[in-house]
Amino acid sequence: MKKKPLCLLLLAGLLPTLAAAQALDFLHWWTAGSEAQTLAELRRSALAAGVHWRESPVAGAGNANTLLKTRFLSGNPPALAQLDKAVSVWGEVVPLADLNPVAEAQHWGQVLPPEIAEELKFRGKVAAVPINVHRLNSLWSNRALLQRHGLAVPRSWPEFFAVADRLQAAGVLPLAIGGSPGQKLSVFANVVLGQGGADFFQRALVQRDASLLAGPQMLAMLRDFKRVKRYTDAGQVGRDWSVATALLIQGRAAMQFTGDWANGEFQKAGLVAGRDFDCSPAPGHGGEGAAGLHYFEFDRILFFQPLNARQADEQRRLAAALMQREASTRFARIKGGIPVRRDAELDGFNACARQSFADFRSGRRVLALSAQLPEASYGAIRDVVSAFWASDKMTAEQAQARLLKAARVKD
Amino acid sequence: MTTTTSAALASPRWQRYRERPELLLLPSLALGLIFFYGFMLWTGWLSLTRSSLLPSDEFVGLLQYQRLFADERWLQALANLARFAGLFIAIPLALGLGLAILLDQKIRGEGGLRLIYLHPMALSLIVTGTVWRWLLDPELGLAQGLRQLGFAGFRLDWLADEEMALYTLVIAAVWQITGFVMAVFLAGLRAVDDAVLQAARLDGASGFTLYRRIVLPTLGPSLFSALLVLLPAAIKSFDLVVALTDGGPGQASELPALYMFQMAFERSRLGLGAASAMVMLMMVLSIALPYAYARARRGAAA
Repeated sequence: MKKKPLCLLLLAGLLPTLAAAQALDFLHWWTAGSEAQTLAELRRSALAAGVHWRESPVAGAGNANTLLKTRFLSGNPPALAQLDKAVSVWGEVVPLADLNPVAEAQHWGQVLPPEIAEELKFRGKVAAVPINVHRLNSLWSNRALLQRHGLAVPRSWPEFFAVADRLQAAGVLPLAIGGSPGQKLSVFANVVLGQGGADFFQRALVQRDASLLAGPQMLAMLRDFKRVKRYTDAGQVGRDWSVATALLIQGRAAMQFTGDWANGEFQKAGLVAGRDFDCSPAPGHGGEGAAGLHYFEFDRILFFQPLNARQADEQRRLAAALMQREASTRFARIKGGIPVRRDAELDGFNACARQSFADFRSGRRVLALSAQLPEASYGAIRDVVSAFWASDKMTAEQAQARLLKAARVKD
Repeated sequence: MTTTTSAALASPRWQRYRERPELLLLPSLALGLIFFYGFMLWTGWLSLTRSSLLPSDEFVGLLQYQRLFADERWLQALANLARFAGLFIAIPLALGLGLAILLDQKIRGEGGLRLIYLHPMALSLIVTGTVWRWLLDPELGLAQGLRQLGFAGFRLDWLADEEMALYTLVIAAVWQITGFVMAVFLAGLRAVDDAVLQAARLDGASGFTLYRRIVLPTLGPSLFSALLVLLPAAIKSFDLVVALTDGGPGQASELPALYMFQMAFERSRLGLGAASAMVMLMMVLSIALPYAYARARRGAAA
């Protein structure tokens, strides 16, 4: 007699899981602001494509990744997940979907730049769908502040140091920066790309060529990277990148290196690109006349191995819907950054996004270190860069030795 | 209601538990075994494998431990822990004892004062860390307050200073824990037999001498209880670091628990994270085991 309710309870608990197993469950951390709006847009596309759509939102990338691992360990993985690592990181440990038929039908190889099309694949099979592209190598500046001191946006690293010296002498904070290690790594990447160029960057930091990492050129770059710290303030600890952007908007700082998510902050404050603020490629990254270097990362959704043929079919329909030109452009417009498709129309995007898109289409593209390196090596390099930035005791030679060691870190 | 309860307790079903009380302990014991020792063993096993993003079964011996002790970040975390733990134990012990002795002078309003000193204990370390981060922020916080009061050139950049960042952790942790240490010592002081104190007074002891010769030597057990709480608390400090400095600037104020968390859960180096967790476990055990051994011997002798 007493056992029956218990059985019913267990059954009732099981039913939602059964139903959930059928729907395409999307695990993500797009919970606030423009990200939540992008999610709503994704949902609309999914439902329009006739997909059984379900969302598992988690606050924060770290928590989401932990939950994703737990769900794989407990045998209840989602069908889709937001991805902040290289596709291969997951590909090596869990089975992924095969979206090759969609990619071929929609000619992803032609509409996407090769750097992105390649990164979507694991062992020859497309397993992820790109949402939008974020440029990482922009120098944002307060135009009025620079003009008041008779200065122009610096186009090379020597110019940057000269401009920063002048600003500092005039009592203006030359560079606003946030507290996260990623912000420092971004400055370092900008120095290496601006002084060594894209090929040097790829060979030294991605292929981790010891002769380049240990060479005099890298040492000089480390010194220049550390020199940038002189132009920042102590308030950077614990400061969010958006607070650093606010310093530019309020005219309390002149320049900032950060990704194109800053664009949205300027626009929200009612500032106009080219009139109130400038967005130019980082010093030494080209852009005057010729196309600039485009250092970027891109948001993507990873598709895991489907449970059955029906789910496989739904995954493919969803992938096709998300990659349609109009839908893809819409995601970028809401989320910020630029569309992934080279044939996108840029109606409704501002001057900064248009400039970024032009460079993305015809300039030299370099994919972000975070997507090109294994997680452990990326983390180790980021540690060295942020420790060197923070420490007044570490010499450039010591930092170089540690960088060389970090580059050898495996799994 | 009472009758039904006692009737139920007298029923043969409950009688069983009365005869064998260990049966009642069994569920919690089983849970403890699985979730505490079981996972401890699993962590130990993981630290011997090549686990990265997900656990793996590829045995690699002590490779993860070799990597761990070749990692400058871990060595710095250990060095930081030594500095942090020393101060985190010494300062609250001294301050707590001082406060306890002052409160022990049968002063008016002791209850209120005790409450005030104990209050920080009621906060979680995350709150403590956040509050102190705001207070110590170089741009806002105390520094800005003093600048507005007219000290225009005042700077308080400890959070951005590689040397001082660790001490901000000490300040916040001491603020949080001193009240607890005080309460422990106060209880110890109150437990001193009045007859002993009277006898000492009759012999002419008073003030400082009374404390040094009579009261303090009886505080041994209190000191031990306080140490037993403080030492493991220092080793497992995590939330305070996350909220106050996040290990920064760079890794200047990182402690082992934060390293473990980042490696295991944020950087897909589960094996390395497990190895660091095992090292921390051994540190705690090296404190707890001698204590347990001493107690067992005392128990056997008695």
